[in-house]
Amino acid sequence: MVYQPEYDDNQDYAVMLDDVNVFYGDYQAVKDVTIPVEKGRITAFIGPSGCGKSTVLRAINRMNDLVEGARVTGNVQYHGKNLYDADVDPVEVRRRIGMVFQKPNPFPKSIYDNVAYGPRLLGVNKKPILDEIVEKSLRGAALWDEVKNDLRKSGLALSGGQQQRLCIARTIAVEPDIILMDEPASALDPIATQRIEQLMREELSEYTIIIVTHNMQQAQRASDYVAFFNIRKRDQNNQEIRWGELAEFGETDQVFNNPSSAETAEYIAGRFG
Amino acid sequence: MTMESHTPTSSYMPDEATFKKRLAGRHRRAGAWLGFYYFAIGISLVALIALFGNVINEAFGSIAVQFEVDPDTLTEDGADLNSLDETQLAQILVDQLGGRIVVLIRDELSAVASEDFTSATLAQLVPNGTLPDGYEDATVEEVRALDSEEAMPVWRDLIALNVPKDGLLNLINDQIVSLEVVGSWPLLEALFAYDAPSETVDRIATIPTEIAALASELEDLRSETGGIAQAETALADARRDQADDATITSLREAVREQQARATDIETQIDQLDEELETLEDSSIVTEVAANYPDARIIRFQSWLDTQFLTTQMSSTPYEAGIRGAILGSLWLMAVVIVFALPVGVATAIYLNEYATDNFLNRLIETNVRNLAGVPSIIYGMLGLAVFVRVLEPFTSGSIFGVADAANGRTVLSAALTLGLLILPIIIINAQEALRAVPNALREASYGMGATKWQTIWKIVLPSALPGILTGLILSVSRAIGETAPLIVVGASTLLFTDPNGPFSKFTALPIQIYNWTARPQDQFRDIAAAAIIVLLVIVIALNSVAIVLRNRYAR
Ligand SMILES: Nc1ncnc2c1ncn2[C@@H]1O[C@H](COP(=O)(O)OP(=O)(O)OP(=O)(O)O)[C@@H](O)[C@H]1O
Ligand SMILES: [Mg+2]
Repeated sequence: MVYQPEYDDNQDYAVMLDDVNVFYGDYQAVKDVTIPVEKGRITAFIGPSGCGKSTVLRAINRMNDLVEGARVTGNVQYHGKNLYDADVDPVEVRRRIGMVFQKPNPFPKSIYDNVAYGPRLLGVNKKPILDEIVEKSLRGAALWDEVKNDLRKSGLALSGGQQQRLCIARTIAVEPDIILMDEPASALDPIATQRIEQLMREELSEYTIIIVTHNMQQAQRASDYVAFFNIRKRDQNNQEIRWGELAEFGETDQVFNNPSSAETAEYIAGRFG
Repeated sequence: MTMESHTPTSSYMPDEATFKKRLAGRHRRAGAWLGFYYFAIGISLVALIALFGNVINEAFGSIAVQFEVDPDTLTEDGADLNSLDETQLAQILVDQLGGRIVVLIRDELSAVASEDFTSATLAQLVPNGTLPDGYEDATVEEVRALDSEEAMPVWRDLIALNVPKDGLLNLINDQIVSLEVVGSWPLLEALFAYDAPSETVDRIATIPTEIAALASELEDLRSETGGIAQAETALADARRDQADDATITSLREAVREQQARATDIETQIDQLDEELETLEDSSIVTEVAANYPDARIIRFQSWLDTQFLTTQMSSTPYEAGIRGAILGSLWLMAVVIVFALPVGVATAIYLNEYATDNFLNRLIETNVRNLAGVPSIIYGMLGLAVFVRVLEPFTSGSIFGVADAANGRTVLSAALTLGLLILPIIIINAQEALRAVPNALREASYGMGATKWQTIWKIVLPSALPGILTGLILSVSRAIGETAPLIVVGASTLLFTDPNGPFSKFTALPIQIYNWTARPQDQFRDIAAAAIIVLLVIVIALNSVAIVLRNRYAR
């Protein structure tokens, strides 16, 4: 029996994953994942490598559509709508649910054009409006003061940490509802990592954020909720299988200080994974 | 050495001695390979040098020219013709041609029909021109009737006032100097086998006289009254008179002697001929001295000059130019790019970004790759069948109302053929460039809520552009040198008008080169070499642009 977190049927969640399964071709990567993601809070996905954290994250804004052979079943409930219904346009989904990737990936364009990319896609082309959006977004990503004098410089000329904040600025420029972050700090040094965490707590405090991380301290410091995934290797009938499952979900303090299962406790203590 | 003290402990590692021995072997093998690389580079270098050397050797070198009138004798102090003004040049024409100047005016200057020429007034001959004062209304006949003291200045002024300086120089060259190139020699000979010692030249001058003397002696000897005939008659007489054996023997001896003398002279002549030939071949100067005693040698003549680049085709090599061929090649290039770039890139985008992995798409992709290897002549045959024949109304421009339909053998047909030829290369290169765009960029764009088309247009294509352009330029530089398909599609080899649009007849540099190298006369090979240099310069320039593009954007 797959772990089921407790949730309130009457609460309006930012996004509600309900028995989500993801397949890559014939291979089932994750099974029956249920996670209630609360509005305006930070939810962290943790778990050993290969347990399907990225897979679930990418299922939330339909990035898996881009992978040939990938298939999602179950319900990803967003504002009363299943994102996988036939009449949902993935382009619209991604505009509302933005994403920041593990490796900073600014476009080979100027800082300004990187940030203005999203608004322009939506048909915002007036220079004064774009100027305003660019400044607001860069401030929102705590990058403005560092780059305000050379917005024409290539985004690739920035340091890794700055690049990642540029990617965040780019994402919030289209004013999404939810920001998905897949190990956004794993390629950065401790100071740049700290900047990102601070950013999440302060400038981005209005956003619903889901972050995948391997860093337990980071999860503990930065998140309000934690979803712990684990790899299942045998099912109830002792058949050999291999998929990711949600092993525990709850408020961060509770999961870290008082985990309900032994495997969670072991993982958090760093004894495996 | 301290390294010796480090001994591996595990048993499968070689011991010290074995290690040293094997190390020496490893270095030896590396050295052998390095030697092979040097050898390979050497071969490439030699091949390149031979290629360029050969072309340059042909395109520059000595020529021998002959004139009817030496241009230096035309001016009093041997001044350069270019330094004279119009009146002086016209004066030269008048002086040299005399009465024939009227014919020249009729053929080169007059605007009236030749049957009306003599009765026309000078003002009618040059409707918008300037005229010698006082003779505006005189007819040609009237001027001609004047005595030459008076008439010649009128003709001179008429020409001087109405023909530009270049035209006058051309007239002098055509009508008076009549330069003719009688021989040409490659650069190596001009450098290293130009001159001969003066004895050799003198000797060459004397040999023909010696030969002539010997030949006339031989002729005498063999004539009806010559030595041989006399001796034979004496012998015949003696036989008839039944002279004694001794006499007959001595007379027979005399005949034999005379014949031997003739053979001897023949041998001498042969030897002299041979000597002359060897002396002749020893240098350019001697060769000219022997064959064209009146010719003048220009030791360093470049067949590649501005005149060659800017004048039209001609059937005399010295006057031929490649303007038409250069323009034709440029037109081809332009139309090829306009056609092949969008089609090629669109195909690559479809195959790379849209096509799912199914049988049909794999078939298309495999075929594109195979098409890149199809010999160009086959494209030429396709172009002939499809563009020249079936699509003639389109390629000749007649459905667009272009009047002078060239039977479909137009720039457009040829460009479409070459376009097809390089399309697979463009597609493959563009696919390569698209594949090199990191997926992270695509994901980033999709993650922002971009559609597929926006992602391709705004992110993927700009990133792939340098690679796409590099491929385009390289393939265009291949197309520009293609000859076979153009011949099949029907390029003109002797085109006297400039190609001026997609629907005109055309020629191209490789066609011109091919055509000239196939001619028997040496000088055509010289101008072919000059044209090859032009073609190589274009191709190398294109390739350099491609290299710069690639380096500039290589990240
Ligand atoms: N594009 C894909 N095609 C096929 N299988 C995939 C693909 N992406 C992921 N997988 C598989 O799905 C499983 C989950 O992968 P996922 O990347 O979601 O793990 P993860 O928890 O993010 O791991 P990590 O912490 O190393 O990033 C793995 O077994 C992986 O091999
Ligand atoms: Mg991952």
